[in-house]
Amino acid sequence: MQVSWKALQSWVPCPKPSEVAEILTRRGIEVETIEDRGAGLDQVVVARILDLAKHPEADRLTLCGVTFGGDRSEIVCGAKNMKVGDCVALALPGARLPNGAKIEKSKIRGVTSNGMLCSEVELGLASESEGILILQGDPRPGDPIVKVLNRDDAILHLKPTANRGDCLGMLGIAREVAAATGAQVCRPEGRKITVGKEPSVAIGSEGVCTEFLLARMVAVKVGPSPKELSDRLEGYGVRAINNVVDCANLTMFELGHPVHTYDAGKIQGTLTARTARSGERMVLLDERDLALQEGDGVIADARGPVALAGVMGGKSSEVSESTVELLLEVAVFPAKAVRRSIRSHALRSDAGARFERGIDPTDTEAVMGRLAWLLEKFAGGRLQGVARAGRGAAPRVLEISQARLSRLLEGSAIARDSKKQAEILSGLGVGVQASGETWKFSIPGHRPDLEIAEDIAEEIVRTVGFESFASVTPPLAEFPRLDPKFEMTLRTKRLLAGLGLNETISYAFTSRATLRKYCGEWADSAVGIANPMSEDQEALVPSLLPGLMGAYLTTRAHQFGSQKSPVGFFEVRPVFSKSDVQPGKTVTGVLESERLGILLAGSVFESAFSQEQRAADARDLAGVIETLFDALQFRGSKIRQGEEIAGYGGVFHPGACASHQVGKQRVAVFGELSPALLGTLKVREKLFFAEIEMGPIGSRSLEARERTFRAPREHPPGERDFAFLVPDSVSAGALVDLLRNEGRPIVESAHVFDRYAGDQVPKGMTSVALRVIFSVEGRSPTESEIDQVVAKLLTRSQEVLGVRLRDR
Amino acid sequence: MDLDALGAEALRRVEAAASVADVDAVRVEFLGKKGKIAASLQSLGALPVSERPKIGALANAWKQKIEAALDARKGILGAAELSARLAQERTDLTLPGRVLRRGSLHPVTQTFEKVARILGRIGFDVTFGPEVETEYLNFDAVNIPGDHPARAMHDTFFINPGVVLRTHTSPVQMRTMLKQKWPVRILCPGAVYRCDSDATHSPMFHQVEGLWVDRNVTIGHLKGVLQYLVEELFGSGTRIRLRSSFFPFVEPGAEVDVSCFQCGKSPRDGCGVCKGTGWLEVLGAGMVHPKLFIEAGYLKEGETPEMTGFAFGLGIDRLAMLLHKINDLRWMFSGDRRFLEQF
Repeated sequence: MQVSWKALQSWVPCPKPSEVAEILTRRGIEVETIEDRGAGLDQVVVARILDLAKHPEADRLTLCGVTFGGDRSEIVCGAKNMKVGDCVALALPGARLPNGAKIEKSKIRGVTSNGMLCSEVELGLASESEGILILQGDPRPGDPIVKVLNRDDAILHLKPTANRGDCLGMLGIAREVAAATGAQVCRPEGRKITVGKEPSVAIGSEGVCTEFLLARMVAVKVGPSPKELSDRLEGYGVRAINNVVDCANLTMFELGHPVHTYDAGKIQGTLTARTARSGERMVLLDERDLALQEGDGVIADARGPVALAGVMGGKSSEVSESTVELLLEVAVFPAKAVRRSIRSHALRSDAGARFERGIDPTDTEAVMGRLAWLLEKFAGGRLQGVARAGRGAAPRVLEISQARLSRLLEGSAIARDSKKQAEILSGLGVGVQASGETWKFSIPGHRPDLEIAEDIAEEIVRTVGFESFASVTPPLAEFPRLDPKFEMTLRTKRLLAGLGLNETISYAFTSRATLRKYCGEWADSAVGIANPMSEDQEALVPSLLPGLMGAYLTTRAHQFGSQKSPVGFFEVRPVFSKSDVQPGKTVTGVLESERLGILLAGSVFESAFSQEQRAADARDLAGVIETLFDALQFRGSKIRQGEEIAGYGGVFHPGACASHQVGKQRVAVFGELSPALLGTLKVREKLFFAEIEMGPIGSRSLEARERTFRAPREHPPGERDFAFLVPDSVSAGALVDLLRNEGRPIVESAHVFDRYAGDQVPKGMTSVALRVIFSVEGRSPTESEIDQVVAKLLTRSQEVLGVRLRDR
Repeated sequence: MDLDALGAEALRRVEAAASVADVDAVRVEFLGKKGKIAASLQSLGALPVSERPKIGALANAWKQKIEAALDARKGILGAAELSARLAQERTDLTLPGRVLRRGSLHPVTQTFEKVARILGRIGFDVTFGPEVETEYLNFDAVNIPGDHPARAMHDTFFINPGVVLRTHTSPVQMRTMLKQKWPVRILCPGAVYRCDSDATHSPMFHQVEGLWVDRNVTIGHLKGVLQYLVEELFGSGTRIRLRSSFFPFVEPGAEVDVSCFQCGKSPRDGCGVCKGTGWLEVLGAGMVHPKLFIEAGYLKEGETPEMTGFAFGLGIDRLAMLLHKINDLRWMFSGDRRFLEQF
């Protein structure tokens, strides 16, 4: 909605545009911009051409002698379309025109020019023009051009909130200004209406229309609108069409109540507001051929629908130059019905926007009176009968106890000042009747949004301002608690950042084609979005990998030079999957599980000398996971390797991936990404990815509990190092498990500290060096105790795993 | 050789030692287990018993004397050697340290934590909810019925009929109220979704909403809490300005402007943060609409509520952009390390 500040002044006395904007914005009618119509024109004045001569040095230039109220002044001009006696627009030195041009006194080919004669383009009046602007109507030289061009105005661009349909009309805006300043609103002229029996009008369905006022106007002359009318419309940002349509539009923009005009010659029989019947169609004014749905509100004549009620008129009864007789519609269409049509046909219109927010149902006669008055003035018509179907709305009355209102206004002095409250409400047109403890408020028709005590309180707040409430420190009724999930997530993120990873946030959606690159299953089973704006929004992510990979690819694409600098990303967010659960009132049927994703690539050090540098590998990733689990006191998961990881088909290198499991529950997967996948993504280095389920980690984490201190041992333990020859089919983890299990209780730990595969060991074998720690409660173990268990360990490891000691 | 001659020779040799290593060699030669003094005492057994203590005492006296001389000489030489070494050794500590990858937390995480810590101190508990929501909880339950024009402002992504990507975190408030009795004092953070996208709008962004429901909660309390929040965020002296506005779930509702933390009390035209207005639009707020209490089961239709409440919401991404002067919302979701590593 936009209104002209000058036009507003004829409705209500008001301060300068910036102050009006401030008033309205504070009252909740946000003024987005103030468009100064005279911007850049303040140094432009009317000048009359006294004489014309050729420029001595340039054929294409003319020397113009002008006056702008004083002595003759000389201007050099390139245009040819002016003659002596013409009035033109002169930009004086110092002017900064709307097109950005800066005007200075300057010498042009040796002759001083004291300004510039302007074209329409230079004045910002048109996007194209030829020659300079010749002013019509004999203006006075020296007058500011803004006056002559009617540009001494400002346009306020407003964004009323969705509950204030009344502010989509000048009347509503004027009321808001008046409520703030205490001034009176001056309504525009209208004609008195007498309701009779003709023309014939009916309501077929109350759901479509509650009141239908129809008037006949004869002897209409359709033609272009006079300047007065088109200028007024321009203030509302609307182009003139013809005098009839323009009067209807002006009525709507002024009073906020949309009206419609029919060519009476093209209407047969009674106009009826009713619901559409199945199979009915109509062509709208915008040429759209609409298949009406059962339940759509329409206005129909004897032959069928002629308008989509409250949204748009039909082509068949459009007013044209041959129209001589009009039917004027001023109706009350319920917001619900109009919203329904707008939504089901995706049709937006100025009328629809007003009806769906709610119009004043009590103003039909006033609106008809204004419309008829305008048409009689600008289209030469004569009113010949007004009829009504349905009945006018009765004003609503709210009963609210005074104590309740005071309570809602607690904290402001207004809470105790019932006299002032009543004054404010009266100023807004709310009738106030105090009878003892209970107040009766009669709500004016233009405020359908006022329904409960809180709404009344808000009206008072809008006027006294939130600043009348003192800031108060609220009392604590209960002690706050730390949220364990919030704390654990932050702790996780901080630790990972400390380990050199960058946290990233990716969109929760992607395309199925992208998902398919990673894993066919992901593409097929991902939760879809029904109305994506683009392909990239068609599916919710089932894994954090696509997002992290996006970060990786973006980062690498912007890195220059030969060095594969380190890349480490992590992200914590839910991923989505379908479930069999039926959606309900509070059940979505979509599963969300919080995950942590980690992606590593490139070198290990951000800064190190080349001989110290090395590429990150799967063990760097494993180390991050171990450190995290330790920090969160998450224990007891086992690493499983050697079987395919369900749900990640094709994602990992089959020989370099594993999962962490607690019993049968998988809590993490990690490993090297599949070379085939990386090939598809055109990645030419190794990437390592882990995805961890935060839910089970959180619920099994001991982090919430305090760690229990264990006194460091007083007696030195026994320590032996072994180098085993391990077949490649046996994992180091299996060997460690065996040593610990078989060595109970004396073996405290076994830890791999080196690994070698190469010429020095047989093919198919790896040398694994382990340090085994032996301990006994309360003393050091004896050599013979250790020897005994070592002998057993060597036998068992040979038997179970085919592992033997490496020869020296 | 007799002990006196041996001792005198040892002292001469100590004096002649040129380095700490020489001193240590002299120590071994004379005082070691197999040293010359020990060797000369080997013959002790051959002496008459009455002589032995005398010789033993003499040997001890010499040992102490030599020991003292050795220590003194070693002290002098050691100091000289150390200063020579220190004069020579140089480690260039201007060389770059050996640095692992430089990690960082996303500005959205940091900003959210900031808000949560501030409001946590005055009793707000952090509460989470799903990102996929039912249409009922996202809209109807928070007073945005099916055909209400306010729904159009939300540009909703649908998953299924009745199931949406949440357009705000208000459904978390509703879930909490459905689960627990009042008083309620919560903070609901998280990603929210709307289908529009340009330099200032992203289809996914982050919000945090606060809700405080109790007996006699007033507009003054709302202002007090917001005032505290913005002073902690932007520095003391930061002011707030509430302008009437409309959000279906509150009544009265307000847009909350915060005085520009960059140009503050004297707005400058050139201020890149507030564009010269002196104010930043950061928050929406208001008093909880009684329809929400009815939906939550706190209140029956037509009853006068015992409880009141306020709610507020702010865009975390926008706040982070203001705090860090980030020029384009799209950086937030770019995954570009050149952006991420700056935080």
